[in-house]
Amino acid sequence: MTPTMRALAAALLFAAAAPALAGRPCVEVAPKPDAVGKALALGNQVQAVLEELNPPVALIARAGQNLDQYGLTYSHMAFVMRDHPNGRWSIVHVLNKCGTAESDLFVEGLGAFFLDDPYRLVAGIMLLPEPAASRLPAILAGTEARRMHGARYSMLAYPFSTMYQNSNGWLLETLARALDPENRIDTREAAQSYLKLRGYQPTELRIGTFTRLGGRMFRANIAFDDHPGELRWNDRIQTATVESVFRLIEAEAPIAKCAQKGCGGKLVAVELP
Amino acid sequence: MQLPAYVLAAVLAASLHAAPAQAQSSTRGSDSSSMLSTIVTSGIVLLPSLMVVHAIDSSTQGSHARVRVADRQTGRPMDVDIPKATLAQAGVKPGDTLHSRNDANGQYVAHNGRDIAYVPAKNSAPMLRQAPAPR
Repeated sequence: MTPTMRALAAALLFAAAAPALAGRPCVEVAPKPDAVGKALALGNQVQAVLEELNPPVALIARAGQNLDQYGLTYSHMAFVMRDHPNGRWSIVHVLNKCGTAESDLFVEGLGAFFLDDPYRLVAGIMLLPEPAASRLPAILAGTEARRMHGARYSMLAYPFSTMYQNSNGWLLETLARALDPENRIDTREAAQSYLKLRGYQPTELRIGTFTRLGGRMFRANIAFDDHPGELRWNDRIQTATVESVFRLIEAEAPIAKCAQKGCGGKLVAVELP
Repeated sequence: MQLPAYVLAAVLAASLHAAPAQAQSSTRGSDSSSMLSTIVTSGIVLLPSLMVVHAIDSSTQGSHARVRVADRQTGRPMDVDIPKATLAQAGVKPGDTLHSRNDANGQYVAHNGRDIAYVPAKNSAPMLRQAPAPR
């Protein structure tokens, strides 16, 4: 009997009524086959770099949107954990739910992380200093990962308020918890106080009144009422960005105890041609 | 609310159930290609097989169809399960010819010169998983 070869063609197509993947545009079309192929290609390259560096956990960023006008390369950041229960090199991050005012926490593979029709197929990897590198795996592997999560989402959330949170804000607060030498941070407020103490500087964007109003009126996932009035009325919107988190780690790294190759503070970029 | 496992379970299943013979019949490489022709005569069959049910029954609710194809280079038959909507959009009919093209991480399936699906290789498919974090 001729052996039948079986393969499941994962065409990644969303039927008309099919749900969308978290963090991806909620249009009812499938990711193109080419997008899947490229996401896997970049995911595999990133995996090879991670295997070489071999950290228990690291920061990883993607360039989902073109933020050149703000001087930013990366738009979204996550933790990537080597020995996660869901699989080796798992991404742990917060994603907005289809443009709504809510978010949730997800664990996914490296390929899925780049399946978001990115503006550029580039990944930024940064290793973490101690004690964060040692503490984070226990936090990220279970329900503790949700401790610093605030479900009310705003894309440009003010990082020193708990009214809203964006994806990078969750990462930042979770990172603060893991960085605290006293290991006493267990609330979002405490994490934000710690970040202030350590001199964390959010990115400041110049966003005018009409742009803010337009965003607030037409997008459920953008709000500005968490920002201090004295900043907001002067078009100064401060938020947690990838670059601001990288700067925090770069500042921490020289004084941190390094227990691994690469330690913290060095950005490794991986990009598909 | 999105169901993140929806597509990714399908992808994972693809790798889990891709028989070694498939890999042997495929020439891995950036420019390699093979011709697959549909040999199903009874139309596109819903996928009721155990392997698919295990992987995607609850999440895709039988939205896939199985296409039996033959590799023209080796002559071996191969069942490929593709979402029905993909096949409908691409206008795939029994007797049509599909093409496959491999890259380092999987296989593109094309119809009339247009890629309609990507089948991740066994070792790459887990990279497309997504699930809510534990509560």
